[in-house]
Amino acid sequence: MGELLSLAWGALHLQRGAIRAWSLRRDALAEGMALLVGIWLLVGLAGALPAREEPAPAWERTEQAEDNAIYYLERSPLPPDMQHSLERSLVLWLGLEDDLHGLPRPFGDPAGGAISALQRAFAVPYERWGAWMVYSLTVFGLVRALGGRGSLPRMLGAGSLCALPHLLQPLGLLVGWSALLGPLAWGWGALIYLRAVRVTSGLDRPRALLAALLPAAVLLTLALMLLACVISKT
Amino acid sequence: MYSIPVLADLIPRALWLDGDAYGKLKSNPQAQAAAQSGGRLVALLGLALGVAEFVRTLLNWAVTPDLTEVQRVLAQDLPALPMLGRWGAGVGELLAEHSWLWAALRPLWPTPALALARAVLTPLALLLGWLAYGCLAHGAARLLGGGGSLRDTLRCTALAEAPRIVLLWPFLPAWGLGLLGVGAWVLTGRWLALRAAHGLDPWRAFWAALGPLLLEGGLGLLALLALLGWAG
Repeated sequence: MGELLSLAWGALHLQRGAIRAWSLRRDALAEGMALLVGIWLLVGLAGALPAREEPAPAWERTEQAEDNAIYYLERSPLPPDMQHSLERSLVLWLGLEDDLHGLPRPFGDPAGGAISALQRAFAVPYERWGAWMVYSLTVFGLVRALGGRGSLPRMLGAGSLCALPHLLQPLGLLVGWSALLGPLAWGWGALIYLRAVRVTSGLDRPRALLAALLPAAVLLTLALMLLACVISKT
Repeated sequence: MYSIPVLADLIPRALWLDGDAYGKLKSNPQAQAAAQSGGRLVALLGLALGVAEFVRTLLNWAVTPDLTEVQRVLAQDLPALPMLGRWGAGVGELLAEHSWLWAALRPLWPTPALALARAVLTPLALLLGWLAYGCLAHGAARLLGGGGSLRDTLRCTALAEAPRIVLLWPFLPAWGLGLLGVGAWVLTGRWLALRAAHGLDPWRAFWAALGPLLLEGGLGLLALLALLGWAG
């Protein structure tokens, strides 16, 4: 356990030796997946825990979301008529969410609420693990196509270390710094992931970067195209 | 009785993508005897998944509003969205009570009857899916130069289904990225299985593993298009 903690600490400092040593462990993938799911489960549970204070009524939360969105829309480079249209769409969308949320269900509170909270808490690690798995397998395919010779369990095991900085997220919820610590955790995790691909793939730096970033670049391009399509329709 | 320790060794190794586990299944008579043709392994997994699907669907039913109520709210609120308003009356027609959309969604909406149906259909679907995939993958592997027998293919691809044990946890969402991740994990296991069963190189094994999925996907798409054409 002490060795694992020491390697994890080294990985947080982006130490190649620590990442390599983690990937060479006999159960690197099993330990890595346990780490990944454990940390994201913690994030999910922290998000699903009931707030200490009484939650604000739905209309108040809707108004707050509207105010936040309008603040950013007014500062965006979008033309005023498009800003107005997006603002109206958002208000209607939030109203629709409230209406759906208010519909009766077979199990009301507290049983229904507890089931929903558990589903939300487990959905976070499950969905993030799924995205990580599909992404990492795609990266592995690209590594092989680019001439890399890394073993799959080692690459996945080392890649799972990208979850470590997300330990900051439950802390962020406690001290109220989620807006700062969330992006920090994602960025830090991405750096660990890039280092892990480089260390385990046997590729030179440009090829390793290409393999690790190409799926993200494709996804980002598709997302931007979708956004442009939505904005042009609005 | 000796099959239990052998399988208890092989299944976790297959789960953690250890290619040697499949190699052992192909070459070790004890492992072969434990797994037999693989059908018993898949049937046991299917039964357990059937129970999990039953519980998951019941839990989803407990916290999901009735489809008729959802239809009413969407039909009332969605057409007012400016983005959808540009599509004219089509949106209203799509969301109307007797639209095909609700007819298509109703059999998938969580209810106790659906929970029972899933408990029965999940093991059958897993077993038939494994058998169909195994036969198609065997054909693809042989076309690509593989030398394994059909029994080797079925036995090894049965072991590759191991990652589905994740789905035994009933609080997971029924659809989404997580399910895609499990699918990708199973596909990777199948890739390792076909490499071991047929002695293929990595790229040939990749195409042998992906080929049946592409074929099944293509046939599914054609069937959907034919159904839509027939309905329209």
